[in-house]
Amino acid sequence: MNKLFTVAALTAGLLIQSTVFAGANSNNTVSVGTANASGAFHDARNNSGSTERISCYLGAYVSTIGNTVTNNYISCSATAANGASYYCYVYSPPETWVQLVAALNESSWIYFYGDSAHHCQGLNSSQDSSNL
Amino acid sequence: MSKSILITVSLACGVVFGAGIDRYVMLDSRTVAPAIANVTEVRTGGITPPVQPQQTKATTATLDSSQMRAMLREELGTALTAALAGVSGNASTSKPAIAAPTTAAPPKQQQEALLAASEIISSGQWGEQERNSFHQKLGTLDPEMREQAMQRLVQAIDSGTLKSPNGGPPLL
Repeated sequence: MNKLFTVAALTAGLLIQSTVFAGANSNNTVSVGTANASGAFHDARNNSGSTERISCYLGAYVSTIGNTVTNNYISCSATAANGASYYCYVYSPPETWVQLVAALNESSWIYFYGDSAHHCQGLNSSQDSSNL
Repeated sequence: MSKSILITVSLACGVVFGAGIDRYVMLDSRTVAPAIANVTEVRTGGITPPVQPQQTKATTATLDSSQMRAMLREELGTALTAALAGVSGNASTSKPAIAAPTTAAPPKQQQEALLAASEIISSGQWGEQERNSFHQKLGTLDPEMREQAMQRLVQAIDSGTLKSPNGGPPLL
């Protein structure tokens, strides 16, 4: 009877496993250039080694308590597996950038670039199941 | 009796497993396109950014693309709604503001803030506490002084005199 349960459990496990690891999967490691960087959050977190990292930060503040208009700050940082890093920042970014950064999640891939003084000039992102 | 049960169950498992393999083979034989791809591009001009590289490999799938779309649509919708609520200036948000007014503070307060920001840079520490404190100080500065302080910070990071502990992001 125990064997019966074992066989049934193994079979069930195999069936469940196929639903867990499903779909296309992209490999997007963190890549850093002289004034740009890109990578997917999920891959950066799960790749071997502890160096790789990519992040964006959104800060919002009001001029006085009770004010309903925010002033915003965005910065994005990336460090590749070899330790190279690039980052950029912007105060009072376009509203579309605020929305873009706010929408980033585990399935996100992001590319950002700027100048040598680290002012952000562009942010691109994609949300894709294959990034997971 | 128990033998007959065992044989029956084994046969059933075999059929189910066989059906699974059959499905795997069918899926593997066709191209599996990414279930969803929602690309957003926002830039101020100048450089043409690359599109996301697609080094895609097909694996087994039991969720079809419409199910995946529905799930991610729901997730992204929730995240976007929450995020937009968070940045809309609602005073009830749980996280404290990291910086202060754009309306510049009195000159004396600005000088003190600039000095405090410089001291943070000189300390060589760039942990979470220092970052938050730095941004809070910057909030009291007028845009020109704020940019000045930010560039000092950037130079300190680039020169290696200011490092994030535990491999944290260079800037926050």
